[in-house]
Amino acid sequence: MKEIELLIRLHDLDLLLKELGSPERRKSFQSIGFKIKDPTKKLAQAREKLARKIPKPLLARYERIRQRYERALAPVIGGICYGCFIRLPSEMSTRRDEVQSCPNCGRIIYWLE
Amino acid sequence: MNLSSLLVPERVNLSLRSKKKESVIKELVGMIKSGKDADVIISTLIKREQLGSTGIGKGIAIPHCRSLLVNRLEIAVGRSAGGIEFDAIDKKPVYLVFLVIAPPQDPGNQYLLTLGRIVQLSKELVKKKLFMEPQSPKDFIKLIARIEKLIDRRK
Ligand SMILES: [Zn+2]
Repeated sequence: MKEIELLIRLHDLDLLLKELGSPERRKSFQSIGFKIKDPTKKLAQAREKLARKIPKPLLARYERIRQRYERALAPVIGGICYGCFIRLPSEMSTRRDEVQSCPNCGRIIYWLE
Repeated sequence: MNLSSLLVPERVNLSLRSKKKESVIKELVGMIKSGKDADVIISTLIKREQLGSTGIGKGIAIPHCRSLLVNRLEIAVGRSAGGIEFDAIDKKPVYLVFLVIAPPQDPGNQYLLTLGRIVQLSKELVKKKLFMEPQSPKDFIKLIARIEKLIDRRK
């Protein structure tokens, strides 16, 4: 698996952990009719397993950006970074399989069509 | 909030091939995304299922998650006449599945509103197995629109 794909998987998992991690947030889903357990313990192993596949410096970079912004990854749509809404240099799109950061906001970017 | 306006015939499959939870999720995600994007979303949906089945009972399931790989709410619907093993909370087979994928950012919380709306609609759809009546995706969307009108009138 490519590093950027691993990061997207990790980020999706972190969204799930965040959204259902607090009892209040869980309650808004439970009141609709869903039965949901606390994900913290249940998915800790899955997160660890995924995180182990990511090179340490890259994982550290992800965690660092996450401290600063709510989301560490931002999509690029139509050449625009949707983290800070700046147009990216077009040559960046030729290296979309690599892990690249937005030169303006520093978020890790991925191309979304 | 209007569910019927979010549905398109190309994403309504009235004769699902799969009989098991995981393969049904794959079949439905396949109507929205392909390749590696689909794999990532399937894996997130399955992790969500591990926290409690989204089979809410009475033959309905609503698998859902947020994913970085969509930038607006995406919905697919599947129906199975034979029933699906979905580990539902009432342990009964599932016949109708609404799959919902939301983007990470969602200012109006359309995600929760949509899920709530589907649950509300499902209560009507299971009456006399109404959901088995439509013979085409277009008719299915029409049925949803009709029930939504009824629900809104009741308010
Ligand atoms: Zn940016």
